[in-house]
Parts: sequence; C-alpha cells; structure tokens
Amino acid sequence: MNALTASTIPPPTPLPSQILSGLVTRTRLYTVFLEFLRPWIERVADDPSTVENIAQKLLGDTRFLYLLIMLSQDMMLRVSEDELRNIYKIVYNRFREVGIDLEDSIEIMIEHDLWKLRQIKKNFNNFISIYIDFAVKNPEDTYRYAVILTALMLLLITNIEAESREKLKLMADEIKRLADELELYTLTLMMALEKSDEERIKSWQQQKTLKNLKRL
Amino acid sequence: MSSEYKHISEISKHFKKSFESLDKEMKQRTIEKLEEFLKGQISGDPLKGEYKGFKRIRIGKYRLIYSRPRETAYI
Repeated sequence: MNALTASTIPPPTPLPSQILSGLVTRTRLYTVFLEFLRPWIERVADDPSTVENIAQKLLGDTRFLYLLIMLSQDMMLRVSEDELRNIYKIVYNRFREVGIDLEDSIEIMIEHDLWKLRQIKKNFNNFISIYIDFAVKNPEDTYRYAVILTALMLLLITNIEAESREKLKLMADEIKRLADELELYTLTLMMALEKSDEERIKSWQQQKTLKNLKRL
Repeated sequence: MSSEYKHISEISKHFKKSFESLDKEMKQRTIEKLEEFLKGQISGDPLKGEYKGFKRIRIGKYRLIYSRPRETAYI
C-alpha cells in the first residue's frame, strides 16, 4: 500500500451489501459497475483465495475509484436499511441452502452496513470528521479497511454465480475471515464517535470484584 | 478478587448498564468469559488505528471491549 492510494479512497467507501442490492435492482450505474467488474468477478469465482489481491488491484485503478464515488453518492441518496437487510437475507439463504452457516458473519456485515448508513444519513458531519481523522492518522489501516470492503463486495456478488458447494465453501471461508476483521473497524469507528479516551477512562467505576456483577 | 486472577479489573458505567440489560443466561456467560479473561486464559483482538490499545472479546452476539495499560483491565 502507499499513502497516495489511501488518500484517493473516497470517504466513505460504499457498503458491500449496497452493491449487491444495486445489481439486483439493475439500475444503470450498477450495470456499468458490474460490466467493469466482470473479469475480476470471474477470477474470484475461479479462485476465491485471490479476492484480497484483486481488491488491492481494483483500489489502484482510477476508473474503479471514480465508480466508487458515484456509488457513495447513490448510498446517500437512495439506499435504505430494509434494502440492505433483505439483500443479506438472500446471501444468508444462498449459503444455508448448501449447509453452510454464515449467520455470525452476516450479522457482523449487517451491523457494519446499517450503522455506517445511519451515520452517513443522520450524523454526516460527525462521522466524516472522525473518518477523515482516522484516515489521516492511520493511512495503512484505512487502506486495509477499503481492501476488506472491496473484497467482501466481490464475494457477495460472486457467490450468486457460484455453481458448486465446494466453491461456496471457499467463499464462505473468505467471508468469515474478512468479516471478523471488518468488525474491528466497526468497533473502532463506533468508539471514535463516542467519548475521547480521556473521558472514557474517567468514567471507569471501581468494581473490583465480579461479585458485584453477580448481584445485578 | 480471587488470587487465581492474573489481572484486576475496572468496569465502566457503560458496561455495567449493558450488563444489567442482559438476560440471566447471557449474564452468566459474560461472567464466565470475564473469569476466563481475568485468569489469562483468553485475550482479545486489537481494534484499529489509535484504538489498537483496546481489544475485542466475543460473547455470543455481544462484544466485550477492554484496554489494559498496566495490570488493570478496563472493561
């Protein structure tokens, strides 16, 4: 990763579920995006373990970044929480049909996407302020966040076209691994929006033993 | 606190409030997990950026966040 790449990532990056949702509704923007992604989707479908490398290549492509800006605008204007929940139900059922349990990962992704969508729509100034602050102070982590979101987006699109359980299992393994790391970003951004560290430390209560908790 | 614990803990108001809202089973699971953590049997994954001093432990659908600047765990 280099700092230049990180600085060109538009804050905020689109939500993984948003892309799949847009593809289902077949609007012009998402059709163009899918056409652009087609060769990359085929590579992920062929070998899901390459998804992170492909995400990194995409994030170095200015045409992809331009499309991300358009998609970010679409997120603010059109995407709804119900739409995102429904799209995750489709993904969950797709894996469940072949006996693969993705419930935990799906919940992590829903939490991320819904929380971020709410911040963007209802708390934009504060959210963007902490996001930019995070990106400036932590360009490597910010780039990694973009890779994770892009890789998850590719996997959410690709699983729809997977033909064998074996391929779906490989995709599920990648989704689980990436969702686990995504949650660390969700929690980080949530914490950044809350009180400062100093204020947080001041709020610690002296509860020296677990016995106190057991009485509650 | 029992001498078998490797850390002492200081629990935040936020945690206490969340804990009070849990059902009995989840409270028990949380206490068990805290005991494992305080005995040094488990540890969490670090958050990102300037929050990497905070770590995440999973308890079912819930997440326990702690930081440990010295021997004390802030939960």
